[in-house]
Amino acid sequence: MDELIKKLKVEIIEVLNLEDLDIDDIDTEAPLFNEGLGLDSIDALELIVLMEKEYGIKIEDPKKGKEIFYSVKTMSEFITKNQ
Amino acid sequence: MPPKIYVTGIGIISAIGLNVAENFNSLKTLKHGIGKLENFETVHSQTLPCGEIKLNNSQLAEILDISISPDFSRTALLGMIAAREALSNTGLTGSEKLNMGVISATTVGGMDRTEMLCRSITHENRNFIISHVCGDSTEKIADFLDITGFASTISTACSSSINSIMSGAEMIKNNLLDHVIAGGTDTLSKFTLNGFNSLMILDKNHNRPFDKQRNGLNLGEGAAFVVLESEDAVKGREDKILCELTGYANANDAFHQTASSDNGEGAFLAMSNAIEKSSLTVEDIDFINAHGTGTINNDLTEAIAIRRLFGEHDPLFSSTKPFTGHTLGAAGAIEAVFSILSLRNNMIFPNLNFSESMEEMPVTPVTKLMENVIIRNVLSNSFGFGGNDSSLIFSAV
Amino acid sequence: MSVFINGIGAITPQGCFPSEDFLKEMNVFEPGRMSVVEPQYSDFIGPVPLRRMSKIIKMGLTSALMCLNDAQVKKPGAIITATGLGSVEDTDKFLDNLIDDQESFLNPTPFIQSTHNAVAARIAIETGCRNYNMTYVHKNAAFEQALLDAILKINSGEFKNILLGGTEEITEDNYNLKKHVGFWKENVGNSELLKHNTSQGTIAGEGSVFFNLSFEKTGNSYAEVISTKTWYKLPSSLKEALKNFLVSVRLTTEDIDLVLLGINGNVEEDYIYDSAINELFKDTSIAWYKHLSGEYETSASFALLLAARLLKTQNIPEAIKLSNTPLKEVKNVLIYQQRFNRNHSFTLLSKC
Repeated sequence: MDELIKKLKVEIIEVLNLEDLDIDDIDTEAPLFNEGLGLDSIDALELIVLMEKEYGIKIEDPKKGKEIFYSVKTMSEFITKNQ
Repeated sequence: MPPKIYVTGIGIISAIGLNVAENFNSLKTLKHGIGKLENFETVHSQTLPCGEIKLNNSQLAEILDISISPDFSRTALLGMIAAREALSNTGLTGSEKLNMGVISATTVGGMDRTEMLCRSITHENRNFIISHVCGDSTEKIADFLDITGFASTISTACSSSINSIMSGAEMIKNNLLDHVIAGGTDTLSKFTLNGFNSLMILDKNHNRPFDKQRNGLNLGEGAAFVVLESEDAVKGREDKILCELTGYANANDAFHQTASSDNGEGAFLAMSNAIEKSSLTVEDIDFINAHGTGTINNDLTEAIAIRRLFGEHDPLFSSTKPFTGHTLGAAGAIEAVFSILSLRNNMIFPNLNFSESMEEMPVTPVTKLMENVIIRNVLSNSFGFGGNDSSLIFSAV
Repeated sequence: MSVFINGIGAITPQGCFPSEDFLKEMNVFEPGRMSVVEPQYSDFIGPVPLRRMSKIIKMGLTSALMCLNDAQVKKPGAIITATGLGSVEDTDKFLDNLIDDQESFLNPTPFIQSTHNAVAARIAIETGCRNYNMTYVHKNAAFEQALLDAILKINSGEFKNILLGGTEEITEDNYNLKKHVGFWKENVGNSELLKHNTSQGTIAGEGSVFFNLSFEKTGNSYAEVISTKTWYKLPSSLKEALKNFLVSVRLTTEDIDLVLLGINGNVEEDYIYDSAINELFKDTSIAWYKHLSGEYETSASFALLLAARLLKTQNIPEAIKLSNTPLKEVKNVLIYQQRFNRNHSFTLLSKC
């Protein structure tokens, strides 16, 4: 597994309190929201905080979150592009 | 027949005035109170506009003619000012105070002091720990006004002070109290400012409810109270009656902790139940003082709920939050006072900053001051986190 | 103006209720905070909502569900809760981060959950209840004021049944904060509380107790709540206030079989109860409860649980007895609590 993808999965589990999961339970390309892990709008906000705190990337418009946080893969691509 | 509930006194302090007359004047002259924070230390003071009352706590204490002490949160001070004004208009004197209660509402409580002092507690300031709780400001108000019988506090986020007014009405309807001072108070705090900021629903510009380009709310601070009395209680003092509280209701959206359901179910239920309780019909509602915070979610769902309920009878509506900001626990009571001013003066205060309707539900609020409008019944909404949705109806007498 | 208690669900320092073992023996705590004995929350709440919840929300929701189960009610008619402080854990967390990170990188979850009505809101979402939903927060009167609201709403015919609850949590930070204002007897455990009643302070507790109230009696009914009243400050004497309360429900002090008092070992508060006992209830059985629940704003909900249960079982736990007055039948129980001579709260229950 790509190092960044691995790191992201650990962080997602921690920040969103997904205590019962480990990194192998999260499919890199599967949707995180609605289906998949069933995350919601508050989780999206938590991920925005993660982006800023861990990666120094500030997301000003919460609506952009939908695309960026679609899957772990899109998140890692976003980080790579913006760092 | 359940007894009628009359309003005999109103009091208010907000970013647009220190009393009813000043607030009324600002509303009429379109003078809003949103701007940069001055009294308040925060990293956001230059970037997040708020409806701040431009007086510090010492100055508030001067208005009250009390000596400032660490025991008094700003929430308590604001509440005492507004409650005193409300009571002063009623013509009530000390002897009746025994069957009088105060029911207040707040979300911040004494957090304004706690957040400043919790890391530097001294012997002198330590009583902030006691004044932290929501009930403390209510007791400060009760003590200041010499009310001893009944003191209660409600906290349901942004609908809090409509709920305290409702609770007051219920106490009177059930003959448990004859007079109730009901309302709410909330101060600006780092806690709430940063809390709403973490939800990304604060506008860096002046809030614009119901507008297509709306981008969030501005926080505000303030307090307002109404004095409710039973029919029997006002006998001989009928000249003090300002209006009648004819309907009220609370419902829950039961959808999400912060967001409203797509079809505004909670809001719809609150409004329709209030109208039903008042024995009025939707056609009888002349004006709605909307919750209208300026957030993407609230304004759309509130508009949808209004359209669902009123259908063809598109009522006149506006949000006064561009004047005062969103005063959280005080909002319901502040907007109740504004609704009563509308009713008494046949005036509708405009929804500032509106230029273009939302695409998904194109509604248009009142955008200019309207005078000489016959207003017999006003509906006022406050919808809070936790899906707590409440509506009040005031009617002319 | 009365209602029936048809279901109870509780998470307390004495264990969970309903349970056969509840108060068979008193749980004894070391000096410091009395914490609740927690159930397996995952038995009641799914993993997706559970992950985000702080203790008070877990406690509140779970005890509410336990109560609905006990009452065999699927969906409450309305939800009324009481709490003095709301979610302390979430409030502390958000405040600490705010100060430590200088107002940046703040997580929204603790802020959202810190509102006082968070428990009531969560129950509404879980049960799909769109009706009346209210939260009272006035210090130690909050629970009785919530109870009064429930009684009025049921008697008006507006709701067939109402879910009523009192919740409170105590955290390490909050406990330490209150040390500064002398709230606690730091070196006294709950079983020793009365031995130290000549000194300042009491013992901290927490809990969540929910009741299903209805105008209808059922096979599961515990007791009938006849009336409740709160006084911010007493109008004249405690004696007069209590007498008037009893007159309002057509009773006299002789009709009261058991008085359950909010004695908490604090010399600055307990003297108020002395006058009540000495003047009015010399010959009545006296009991107390705060050594079992700990002191917290809505601990009257624990008292109501005790009173309701003993009226149903006619069995008075040894642990609560203060006087030796023998009892035949318990028909009427009066609960009285106050804090620092403020927010005097009376509740009367009867056997049903």
